Amino acid sequence: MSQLIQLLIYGLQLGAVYALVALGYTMVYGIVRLINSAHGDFLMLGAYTAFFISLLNGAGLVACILGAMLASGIIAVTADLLAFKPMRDQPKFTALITALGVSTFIQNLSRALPFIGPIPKPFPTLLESRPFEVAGITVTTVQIFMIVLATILLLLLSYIVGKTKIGRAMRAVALDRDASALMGVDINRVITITFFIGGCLAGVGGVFYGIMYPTLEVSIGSFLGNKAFIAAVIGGIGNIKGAMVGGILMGVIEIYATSINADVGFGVFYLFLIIILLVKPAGLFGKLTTEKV
Amino acid sequence: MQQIKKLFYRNGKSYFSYVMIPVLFLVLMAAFQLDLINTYWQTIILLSGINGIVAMSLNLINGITGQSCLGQAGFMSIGAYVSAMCTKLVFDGFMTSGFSSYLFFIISLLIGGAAASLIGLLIGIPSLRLRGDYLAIITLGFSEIIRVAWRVIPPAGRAMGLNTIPKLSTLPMVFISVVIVMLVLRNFTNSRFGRSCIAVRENELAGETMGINTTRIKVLAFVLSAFIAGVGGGLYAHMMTFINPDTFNQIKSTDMVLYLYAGGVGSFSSALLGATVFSFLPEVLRSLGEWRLVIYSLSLVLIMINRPKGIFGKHEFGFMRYGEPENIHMKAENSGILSSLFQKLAYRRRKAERAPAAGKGDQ
Repeated sequence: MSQLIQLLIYGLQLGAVYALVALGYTMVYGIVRLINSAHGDFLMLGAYTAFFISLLNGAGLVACILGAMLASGIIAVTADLLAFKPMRDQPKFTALITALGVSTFIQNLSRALPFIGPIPKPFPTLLESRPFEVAGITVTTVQIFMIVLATILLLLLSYIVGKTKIGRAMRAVALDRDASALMGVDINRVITITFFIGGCLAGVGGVFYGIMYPTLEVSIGSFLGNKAFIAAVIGGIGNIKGAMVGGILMGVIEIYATSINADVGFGVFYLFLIIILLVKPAGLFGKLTTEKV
Repeated sequence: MQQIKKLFYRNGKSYFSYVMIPVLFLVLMAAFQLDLINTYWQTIILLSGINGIVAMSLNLINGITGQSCLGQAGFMSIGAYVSAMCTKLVFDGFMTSGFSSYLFFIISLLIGGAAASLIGLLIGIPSLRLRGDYLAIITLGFSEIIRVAWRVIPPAGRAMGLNTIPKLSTLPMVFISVVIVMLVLRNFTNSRFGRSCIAVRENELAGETMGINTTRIKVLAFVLSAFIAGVGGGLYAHMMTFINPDTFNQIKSTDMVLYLYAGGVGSFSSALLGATVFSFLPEVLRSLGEWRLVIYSLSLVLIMINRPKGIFGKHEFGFMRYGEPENIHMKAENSGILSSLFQKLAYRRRKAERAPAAGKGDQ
């Protein structure tokens, strides 16, 4: 029993990362209807930014996280303006191909740049991990920090989307883009802000990933991004609550599955996805929209 | 070029491409046999043919039937593994002479394709209820599950994969496979079923009203596409002589999609040409080291942003149109990057020729 709870803690820690990254996918999908395959690579660049900031003298955890957030956010906005904006009126699948192209471009560019390169880099220990025991379960300070910070960010995001003016604009654009444009919502501004927020969350996710698995590689973005994307789909892509629940759920499930068999762990992810999609085609929280003729 | 093409017009049909296929085959064959191109480039040529087969099979789903599939590498891996297990384990004793080994290789390829299409049927029936993005995601999911399955099945060599597969994918095998696949796809597209597929793409509801069983048609296209991808995978396994589960990862699937969309979705010829161009591009740029893939992916993004119709547009080779010439409307509608470039050049030339005459007319 205590082992199950121990695994649950690990699952929550991983799930927090997935939830943060999944939110970026789901917000962009909700507003632009684009599966942004390059989202994982924004995360990777954020993690590298944190790595370079940590090399500076006196730069601590807070500076790293803020730097990663800012870098990922700016890269996400740039990618949107340069590559995704011209694709707004194109068929959805063409836009998806563009996103795939952007993703390979970012990965290959970072591989080619001399200061990033193909060789994995060790991520520094930004936070001293002190274990302590509560009722037979070992919890580390890192785990608590990650879960708490992720929760704060998720609450902050819920506040932004639910209570502020820009959040209301986002929800309006997600509901009906043309109608909200007629009501005076600046669509392009909303999309830019959405990409920025998504990128920021991905940056935090990148730093968290670096703390959990301290080797930085160019491919971590697509690796983690894929899983987070599946989490977003399971929760119902386009739905913010769904992404949070889906991320945490998939983190917990992955930890339990890999504790049984490491090879099957990743397969379970997809198996769960397929079952959910077949039973509830729009995900756990998603609403199925019928395409109008 | 136009003058040569004109020689092959008979009864309003062009037989140019019919003649060009054997000519191309003989040229490639001579180049391979006389070692005019080294083994490395020979492999790239074969690889581009195989990639072309898989990209064309993907075009049947994405271009003709209008569904979105992202997991073609899964079907490829089934064909590769099943056919490789056939030639390595089952038919090993029969493959003594040159002729019988090719005969059993062809049988293995067909078994591999059949296995892939069976899985395609099992996957297609539930997942084709979904549409658009969700279908793309679920096919991606299935292809990843297939990959994980190969990692745990003992006869498939687990994570090690299979090696010392007999190297049987020679130029004639690959070339003839490409031609046969193109002919099969051409005949399918022009059959009753193929036209139903196009109806599903254009308007699913209208197609259903006209009495097409849309689900059945979609599953049919999916199964045929899986078969062809499986054959492509079998050829791939017997060219590389070693495969492991990670050969057929998500990058392989996305590569196939990129070939198709960069070439021009909706046309089998463009899928083949796109696969050829984008299989060659990274190798041509090899001297640039790591930067070659940067240029490769950047060129893809630029193509998609500026010309979403792809490099070759929707043009088909002459024999894919049964030799019917393209009329001016088809030319305009099908134009990709290349043909619009040619049209622009031809327009400039005509303008330059006309300029003095037009000047006189004004006076």
